[in-house]
Amino acid sequence: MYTENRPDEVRWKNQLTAEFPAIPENEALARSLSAAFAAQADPTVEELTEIRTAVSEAVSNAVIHGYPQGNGQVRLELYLGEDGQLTIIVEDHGVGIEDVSLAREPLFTTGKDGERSGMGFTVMESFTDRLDVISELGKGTRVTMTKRLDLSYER
Amino acid sequence: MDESCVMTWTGNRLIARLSGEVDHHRASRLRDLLDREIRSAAEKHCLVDLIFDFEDVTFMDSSGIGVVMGRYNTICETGGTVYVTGCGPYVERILEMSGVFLITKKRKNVQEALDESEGRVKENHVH
Repeated sequence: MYTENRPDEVRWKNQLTAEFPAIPENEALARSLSAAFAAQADPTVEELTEIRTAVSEAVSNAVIHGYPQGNGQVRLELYLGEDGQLTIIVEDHGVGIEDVSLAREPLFTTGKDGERSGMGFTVMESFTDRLDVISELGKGTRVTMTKRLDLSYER
Repeated sequence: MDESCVMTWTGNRLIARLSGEVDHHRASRLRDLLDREIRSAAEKHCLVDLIFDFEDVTFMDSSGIGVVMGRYNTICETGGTVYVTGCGPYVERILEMSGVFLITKKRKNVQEALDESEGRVKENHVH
C-alpha cells in the first residue's frame, strides 16, 4: 500500500524500518528508535524533542485509532537524506480515517471518553516541516512527516 | 521509565507531581491514579484546588493535555481551580496549543500556586 510516496531510494543515505505490535508500550520504543536514528544528523536538542513528540503522536494514533479492537502491526520507516532531511513514515493496516481533513482539524477527536485532546495531528504538523496523511477505510493509514535537520546546509 | 506520580495533600489542595515521560501509555495510568484520589476526596467534600507539577517531566505529548483537561472537568464542578506549574518549554508548547492555559492557571512553581490557592481560600472564608 502507498508505495508511491516513499522517498526516492537514490537520495537517502540511511534507512531504518521497524515493525511492532500496536501496543501502548511500543510508543516509547518508536520514540527512542527515531531519536537514535536522527542523532546521526547531529540535530539540536530541540529538534530531537520535536521528532520524539511527532513520532509519539503518530504511533499513539495508530495504536488507539488504527486498531480500536487491538491486534495489529505498526510500521515505522525512517529515512535520512543526503541533504539532512529526515522522513518519518508511520503506517498501520487498521480501520482507516473516514475524513482525513476533518481528522487533521485541531481538537477533532473520535475518542468518546473525553480524554483525547484531538491535538495529535496539530502537534505533528507544528513539530515537523510537512505532514501528509493518506488513509483508506478498512485498509489503513499512512502518515509521512518530513523535517529538515541540517539547516546550515542551506548556507 | 519512572512510572510514579507523587500526590501530596496540603489542606484541601492536592498536588500531583508528575515525572518522567507522559505519553498515551502513561497517561491512562495517571488518570486512574488521579481520579481515584480525587473521587475519594470529593466524597468527603475536602478537595478545593488541584496543582499539577510538571517540573520533573522529561517528555510529554498531547496525551498530557487530556490528563489536565479531564481532571479540570471534575475540579471545576465543585468550583475548584486547576494550577499548572513547573512547565518546561515543550510541556508549555503542547499545553498552549490546546488552550489549556485559558482554563487553568499557569504558575512558575508549586509554592506560587499554593500561596495563591491558600490566599483565595482564606478570602472565601471572610465572605
